[in-house]
Amino acid sequence: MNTVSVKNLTKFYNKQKALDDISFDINTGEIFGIVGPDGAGKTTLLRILTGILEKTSGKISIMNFDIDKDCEKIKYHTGYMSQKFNLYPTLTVEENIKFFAGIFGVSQQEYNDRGEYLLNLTGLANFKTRQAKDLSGGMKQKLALISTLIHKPDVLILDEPTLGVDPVSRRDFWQILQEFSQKGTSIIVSTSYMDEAELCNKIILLFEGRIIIQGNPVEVKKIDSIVLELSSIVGTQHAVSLENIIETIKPFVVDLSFKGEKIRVILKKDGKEAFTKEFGKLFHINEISPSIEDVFMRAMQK
Amino acid sequence: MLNFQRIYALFKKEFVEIVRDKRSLVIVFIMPIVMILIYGYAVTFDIKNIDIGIIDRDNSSLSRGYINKIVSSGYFIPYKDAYNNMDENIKALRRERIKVIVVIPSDFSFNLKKGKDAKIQYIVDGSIANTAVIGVGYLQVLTANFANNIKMDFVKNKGINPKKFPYISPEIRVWYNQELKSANFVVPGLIAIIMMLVAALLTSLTIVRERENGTYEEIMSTPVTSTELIIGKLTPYIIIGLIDVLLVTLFGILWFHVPFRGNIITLLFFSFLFILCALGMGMLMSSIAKKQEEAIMMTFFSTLLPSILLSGFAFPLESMPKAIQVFSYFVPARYFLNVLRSIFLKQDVTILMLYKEALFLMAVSIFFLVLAARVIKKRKI
Repeated sequence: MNTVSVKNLTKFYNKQKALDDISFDINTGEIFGIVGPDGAGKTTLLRILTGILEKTSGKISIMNFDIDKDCEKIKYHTGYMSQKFNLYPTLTVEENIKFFAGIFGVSQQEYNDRGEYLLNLTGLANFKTRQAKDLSGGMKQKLALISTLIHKPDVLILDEPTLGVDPVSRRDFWQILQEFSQKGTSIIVSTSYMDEAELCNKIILLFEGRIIIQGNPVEVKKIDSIVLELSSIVGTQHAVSLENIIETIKPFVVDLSFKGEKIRVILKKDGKEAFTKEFGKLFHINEISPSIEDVFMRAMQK
Repeated sequence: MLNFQRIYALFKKEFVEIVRDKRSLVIVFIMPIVMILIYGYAVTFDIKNIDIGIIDRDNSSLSRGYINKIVSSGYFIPYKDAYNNMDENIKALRRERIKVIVVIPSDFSFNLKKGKDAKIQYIVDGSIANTAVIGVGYLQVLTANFANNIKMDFVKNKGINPKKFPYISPEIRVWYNQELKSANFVVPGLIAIIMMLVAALLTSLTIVRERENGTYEEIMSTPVTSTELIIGKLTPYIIIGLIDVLLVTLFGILWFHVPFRGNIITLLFFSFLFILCALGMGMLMSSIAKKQEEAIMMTFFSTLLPSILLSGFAFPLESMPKAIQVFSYFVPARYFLNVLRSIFLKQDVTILMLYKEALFLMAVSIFFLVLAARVIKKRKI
């Protein structure tokens, strides 16, 4: 079942186009990743989905409610966590959760069951009486997540939830997300971490307000590009300076980056032969499977 | 339909936030007391012990009687070193040793005895206008009084029964504040100022703070309506405001011995209306401002300054230019000030008697609250 369906969504800020003809569907229990550089329109898209920003045109339905007609009903089915963690710093962990429970009309019984469960799941049970401002970054993020989950939303909307959080907390956080997705919660998450994009069921790459790639991470990687890793053959590295290498390779490649001592290049699908012929004497050439980052770099070059 | 569970959740959250925020607590409890102490003592319009110089060119029993009248009134202290020395007196006036010079001309008693008008000259230091005006006022009253006595003696000497003499003497009676104590006047007015400050300043931060925290976006994505948000957020401040009214009233009565002749229900009723006005204004500022500092500045200039300057608290409205007087009709503190002074100083003042003020305050609060609700509905980020 489609929990979220977006068709031909467009958003203008005054005359500036922020979102251009966005369409996608999300199924029950799917983790839907929105990836893209800063300013691509990720936050704008999420804010429109939560109903705090108005779209210019297009159709959006969430849980079969049309956002134009039943925006207020939709709000009971969604949970939104904004980029800054949505916490009241002087309220304790428990008070923060209770506040959102009250806002959504969660009954005492439901609160007891679900609150305990969420606190235990996130390991915050021992910090119930601590004020939010005294929590670590990872704990703040988890508390914000609990606050958005307390009313059992069908669709969870997260705007760069792991920004500035340590790697261990990030991993914990994603485990929790996966647990909820398995239970049937659809999760829309924007991120700029490519490793997180690999954990999604479906991703879109937003660039300058447009979707330039869409699909699941495996599909997305089957693209018309080849990624090569170049390591220099001993003896040649002194003969040619780095600048010269870059200058000579550049016309042949789509993108070029450095990884330790190695150089990573993305080529067009049919470019390998010519490249090997040209530079086979300079480098050891290894073909590797593209990462999502490679895919996006290639896509944005187009 | 309003959802009371949501309103209660908002109310409770807001209340806990205020109680845990030291800055808010200072604004709520310390500032009113400090303000009432400072204003209660400093803003006094009672002037006593004004230093004056005396030049008596007449040196008669009448002129000495006149001087005696001035000195014994208790309002003036003669500068004896410069007695009858004009140069010294002018020097003293210049270095602010004295505020007024009273000059009695040499024909003073001569004219009076002949039944002619006698003249007296006051030279006043106008650079301290307030003292000068009040001092001259006192002198005029004393002089008029002195003149009356002379007339009465004159009539008596002619053998006419003074009671039959057709003579009109104004007899001024001060009602409601018999001692003309300025504390009786200032303290009720202060309640309006303090309320404006506490209520508007505190609420001006409430929404903008959430915007800075990032929680505002969050709340806007929940089913909370703008009306519920306003009710839930304002109720704690209404309660705090009313507690402050009682606190300041009690302080005024016990510390400054200001009389309280009206009834407490009327006071609370009007305080409630006025607090609503202040909260509405604060709420509007908060929903417009992007930063807390911006909200504070906007509130300060749009609510507090007009309340102090244009309400009749510090300066009488009657003496202002017409255009500014018109502007003052839109300052809620003006109405609340009237109400407060009435409630404190007059007996049997009922809500009905003050219906105009009540209606105005209601209209203003509704205006600002509706406007704030609209802004909130439009700007969800």
